Amino acid sequence: MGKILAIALNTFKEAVRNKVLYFLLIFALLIMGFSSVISDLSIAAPEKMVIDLGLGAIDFFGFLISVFVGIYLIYNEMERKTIYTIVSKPIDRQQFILGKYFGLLITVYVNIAIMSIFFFTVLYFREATQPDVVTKAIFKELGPGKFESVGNYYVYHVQAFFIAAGKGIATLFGYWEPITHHLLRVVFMSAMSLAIITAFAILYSTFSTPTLSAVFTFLTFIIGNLCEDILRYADKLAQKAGGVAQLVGPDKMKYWFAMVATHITPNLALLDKFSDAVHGPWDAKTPTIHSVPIDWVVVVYGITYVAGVLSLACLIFNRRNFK
Amino acid sequence: MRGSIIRTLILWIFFLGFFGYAVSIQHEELKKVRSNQPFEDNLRLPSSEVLKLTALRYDMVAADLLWIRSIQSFGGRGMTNRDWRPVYDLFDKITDLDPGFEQCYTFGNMVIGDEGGRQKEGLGLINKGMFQFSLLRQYRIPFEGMYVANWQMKDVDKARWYGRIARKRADSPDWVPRIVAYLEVQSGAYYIGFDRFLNNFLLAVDANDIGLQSIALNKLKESVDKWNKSLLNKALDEYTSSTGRLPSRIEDLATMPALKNYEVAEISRLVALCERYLQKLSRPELSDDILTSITLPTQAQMNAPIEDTTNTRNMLGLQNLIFRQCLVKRSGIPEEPNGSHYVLNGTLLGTKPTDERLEVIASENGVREYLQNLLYAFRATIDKRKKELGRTPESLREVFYCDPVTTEPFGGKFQYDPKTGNLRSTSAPDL
Amino acid sequence: MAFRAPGPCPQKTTIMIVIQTEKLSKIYSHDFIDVEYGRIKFNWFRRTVALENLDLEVKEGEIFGLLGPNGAGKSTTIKILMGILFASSGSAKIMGRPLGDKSVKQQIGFLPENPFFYDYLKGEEFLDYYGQLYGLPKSVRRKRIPELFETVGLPAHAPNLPLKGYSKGMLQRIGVAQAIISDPKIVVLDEPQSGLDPLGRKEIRDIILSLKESGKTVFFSSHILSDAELICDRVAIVNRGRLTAMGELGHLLSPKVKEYEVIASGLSKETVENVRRNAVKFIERENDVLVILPEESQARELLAKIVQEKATLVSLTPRKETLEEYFIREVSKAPGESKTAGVAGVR
Ligand SMILES: Nc1ncnc2c1ncn2[C@@H]1O[C@H](COP(=O)(O)OP(=O)(O)O)[C@@H](O)[C@H]1O
Ligand SMILES: [Mg+2]
Repeated sequence: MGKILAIALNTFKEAVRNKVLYFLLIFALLIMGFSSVISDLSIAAPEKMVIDLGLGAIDFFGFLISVFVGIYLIYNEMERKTIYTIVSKPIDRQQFILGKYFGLLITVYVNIAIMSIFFFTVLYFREATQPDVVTKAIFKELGPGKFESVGNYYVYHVQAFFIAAGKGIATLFGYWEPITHHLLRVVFMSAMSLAIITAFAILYSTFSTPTLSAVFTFLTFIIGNLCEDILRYADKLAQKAGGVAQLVGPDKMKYWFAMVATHITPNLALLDKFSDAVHGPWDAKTPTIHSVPIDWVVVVYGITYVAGVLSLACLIFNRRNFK
Repeated sequence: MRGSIIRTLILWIFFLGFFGYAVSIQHEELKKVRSNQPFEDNLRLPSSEVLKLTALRYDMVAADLLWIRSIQSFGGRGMTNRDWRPVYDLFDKITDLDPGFEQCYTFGNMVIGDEGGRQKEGLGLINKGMFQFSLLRQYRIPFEGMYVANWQMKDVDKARWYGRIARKRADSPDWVPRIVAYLEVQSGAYYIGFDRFLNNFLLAVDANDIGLQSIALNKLKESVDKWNKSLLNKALDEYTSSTGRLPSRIEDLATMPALKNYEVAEISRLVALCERYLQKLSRPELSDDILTSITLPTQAQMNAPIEDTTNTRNMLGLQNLIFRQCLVKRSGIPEEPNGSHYVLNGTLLGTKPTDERLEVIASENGVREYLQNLLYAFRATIDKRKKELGRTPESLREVFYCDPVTTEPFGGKFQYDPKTGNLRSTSAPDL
Repeated sequence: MAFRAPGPCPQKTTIMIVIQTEKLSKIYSHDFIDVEYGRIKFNWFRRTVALENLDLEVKEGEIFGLLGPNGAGKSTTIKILMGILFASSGSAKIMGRPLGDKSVKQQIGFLPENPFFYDYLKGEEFLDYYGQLYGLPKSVRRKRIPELFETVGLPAHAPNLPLKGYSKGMLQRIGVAQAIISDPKIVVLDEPQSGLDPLGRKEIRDIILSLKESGKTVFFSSHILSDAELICDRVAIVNRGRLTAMGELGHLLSPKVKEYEVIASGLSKETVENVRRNAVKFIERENDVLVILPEESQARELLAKIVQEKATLVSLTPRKETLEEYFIREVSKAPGESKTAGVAGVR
C-alpha cells in the first residue's frame, strides 16, 4: 500500500509538470468565466447556460486531462527507461499500475476540484452581483427616494468575490445554496465516469503508443456516451426484421456487434446527471450525502468497472516486455 | 545576387497572383451568398437524432448554444422577413436536445405563436413541453398555451383545456385557478366556473383573508350574473322569434321556455349557507365589508335545513355540499346577484349588435349607469356645439345634424330645452 | 576453444551460486503487443535473436564481469534477470529462487545502462522514492540517504539539486546509490562505466571494489575490457547471444609470456634492419627504436646486441596475453563472422 502511494505521489509530481495540463485547465476556467458573458446573450434562463457550460467544461476537460496526461504516464516510464529501475525493485507490476492509476486519478481530481471551486465561485459571484443585490448592499434607504451610500461599488465586488470563493470551496465539502444544490452530485458523477475513463487510458497505454491510446480512449468515451443510443439502434434493427432470430447478413452482424459494444464499453450515460441537476430532481427518493442525492448502484457500478479494467491492464502489463 | 533578387520577385509575383486570384474567387462566392438570403436561412441543422449523437453527453450545452443562436435568429427575423418557420425548427431541436428546457417551450410559443402568428406551431411546442414535464410541475407551459389559445386564437374551449392542465400543476400560483375559472365562465361552463370560484372563496374564508374573500365573491357574482344573462338572452331570442317583435319589459320574458324550471346558483343562497355552516362550525360570521351590494338572503333561506358537518372542521371541506345547495331550480326572471334586478336596456334593445348581446339585459343599477354615461356624452357634445355656435343650439338636430332617434334605456325620449340648452331624461329626471 | 565448464569444485558446498541461468534464450519481437504468457506469445513477426542458450553462474561474494561487444546480449541477459524482459525459453534463478520473487528482489540492487531518472526530482527525493519502493521505513531512509551521497562521492549540493542538473558522472553515481540503498546482497550494474571519463571510470571501479569488500556480490557488464580486467574475479564472455567463455581470469588467459617489448637507443643501422625483420611491431624515432618480438630467443639476441654495441636499453617488458587480446581472439573465432564486427566495440 505504501509503495502504491509512493508511486501515485511520484506520478502526481510528474503529471503536474505536464504543460498540457495547464493549458487544459486554463481553457476550462476561461470557458466557465465566459459562460457568464455567453449567458447574457440569452433572453431567458441565464443561470442554466452558466450551469450547463460549467458542468460540461468540468466533465469534458476532466476527460481531456485524463487522456492527455494519462497516455504519457506509462509510455514515458518506458521511453525513458525509468521503468527498468522500478520493475527491478521489490514491487509487483500490479502495484505499479495501481500507483500510476491513482496518481493520475489524483491529478484529474485535483483539477476537477479546482474547476468546480471556480465554477461554484462564478455562480455565487453572479448571485451576489445581481444589480438589485448590489444596490441593496451599497445604498441604505433613508426614506422614500432618499438613499445614502454606505459602500463602494468596487470594494463590494472584490469582497463578493472572496466570499464567493470561500463558499465555492465550502461547496466541495457539502455546503450548498439553492443555486448549487444539486451540482455537487453532478461533479461527483463526473468524477465517477472519469475514474472509468482514466482506467481505460491506463489500460490502453499498457500496450500501445500514446497516439493510439488517445484514439482508443476517445473511442471508448464516444461509445460509452452513445451506449444507450447504440442499443436502441440495435433494437430497432431487430424490430424491423421482426425479432432477433429473423436478422440476416450484415444486419445480424451489426446487431451483435452493437450488443457486444454496448455491453463491454462503460455506459457513461448512466453516470450522467446533468439534466437532473439543471432542472431539479423529479423524484425525492434518491439517497443523499449532505443533501446531495447519490445513486449508489451507479457508484458500485463505477467501482466494479474500474476494478475490472485495471485487472485487465495488470494482466497485460504483468507479462509485458520492456524494451 | 541579381539571380536571387529575380527569384524573390518571381515568388512575390506568384504569391500575389495566385493568392489574389484565390481571394477574388472567394469574394465572388461570398457575394453570391450575401445576395441570396438572410444569414439565418442558411442555418441548416442536421436532424435532432444526429445532433443528439454528435453532442455526446453534452447535449445540454449544445441546446444552450442553439438557444442563443435561436434568439439571434429571432431578432434577425423580427427585423427582416418575419418568417418564423426556421425558428420553429430550431426550438424543436433545442427541446429535443434538452427536453427539460422549460423556457424554450414558453419562449418558443411566444415567439412563434404570439409574435409570429403561427399559433398551431407554438401550441405544438407547448404540447411537447407538457408531455415532457411531469404532471406535477411547470404550470407555465400549459398556461402559456392557454394564453395563446384564448387571446390569440380566441378559442375559449382550447384555452380552457390548457387552463385546466395548468391549474392542476403543483407549482401553479393561486391566480391560475381564478383565470381558468374565468375561462370556464367565458365558455359557458357556469357550473364549473362557479365551483372554481367557490373553491377560492371558501379557501379565503378558511384563511380569514377578507381581501381574497371579496375578490372571490365578486367573481362568484360575476359568474352567476353571466349565467343568468345567458338564460335571459336565450329567453329574449325565443321571445323575438316566436312573437316577431321586441319585448317592452323584462317581465315579458318570464313565460318563455328558457326560463321555465331552469337551474341556477344564487348568491343569496350561498351567503345564507356560509353563514349557517360557519355558525355550525362555531366560526366567526362573514365580514360585513364583503357583504356590501349583494342580494341578501331571505329569512326562508336562512332557515333552510343544512346537512351534517361532522366530517370536516373547515369550510373547504364543505365545498361540494355548499355547491349542491347553492343550486336552485326555479322559473321566471332570475335573481340579480348584486342586490338589484334585471331590466331591458331600451337603447340597445332595438340595435342588438352582437358584441353587446349581454348588455341588452342588465341590472337596474347597470342600466342607470348606462343612462348616466349616455347623458354625459350627449351633454358634452351639446356644450361643444354651443361653443361653436356662440349660443345655445335650437334643437338636437342642430347638435347631431339629424333627428335624435335614441330611445332612453328605461324607455321614452330625451327632452331638450332649447332655452337653457339642458338635456334631461324622462325616465330618470334626477340624473 | 577455451571454454571451461564449471567443473566439480571442492568449495562448492560452501560457496553459494547466487545467479544461475540455464539455456536462457531471448527472441525480440517488434510487434504491437509484446506480451509473453508462457507458451502463448504475442510476437509473430520480425524477430531478433538476442540470446541463445546462455548458461551462467555467479558465485557469492565475487565480482563477476559479463563481457562482450555491443549487441552481444549483455543487457538482454541483465534485463531478463531483473524481470524487465521475459525469457523466450530457458530459466534462471537468483539465490536459488525463480525470477520475480519479491523477497529476492529485496536483496538486489540494479543500475541500468545509460540510466535516466525522474529529472524533476531532487537527489534526495529521488533516493527517498526508491527507498520507499524497497519498503524501507522512514527512519532508515533518513539515516541511509546522506550516507549514500558520501559513499558514492557526490558533491555536497547534490541532495538538493534536481536530477536534470546532474552531470553524466553524477547521474551514474546516484544510480549506484539507488542500487545499494537497501543494502542488497547482489548488485547488478549494466555498463556502469560507459560514457565516463577515465577518472570517473576509476571511481566506479573503486566503488565496485568497496562493494565487494562489504560482502556483496557484484554482477556487472562492460565492453571496456581493461576496466573489467582490473577488478573481476570471474568473467563470462558473450558474443552474438552465445556464451564464448566463462571462468576465472587467470584460467582464461594463458599465463605464459606472449611477447617482449624492447625500447633501446643508439643501435647500429645494421642491427636495426635485422631486428625489423623479426619484429611483430617496429617503431623507429630518431635514435630510439621500439620493437616487439614474439620469441624469447630473439629478445635475448637483441639484448646481446645492445650490450655489444654499447647502446642504451631503455626498457624491456615481457607481455602476457591481455583480456582484450583474448577477447579479440575468441570473438573473431565465432562462426561466420568478420573480424571487424567483433572488434568494433572493443576500444
Ligand atoms: N528492444 C529490442 N528490440 C529488438 N531487438 C533488440 C532490442 N534490444 C536489443 N535488441 C537486439 O538484441 C541484441 C542484444 O542487445 P543487447 O542485449 O542490448 O546488447 P548489449 O547490451 O550487449 O550491447 C542486439 O542484436 C540488439 O540489436
Ligand atoms: Mg547493453
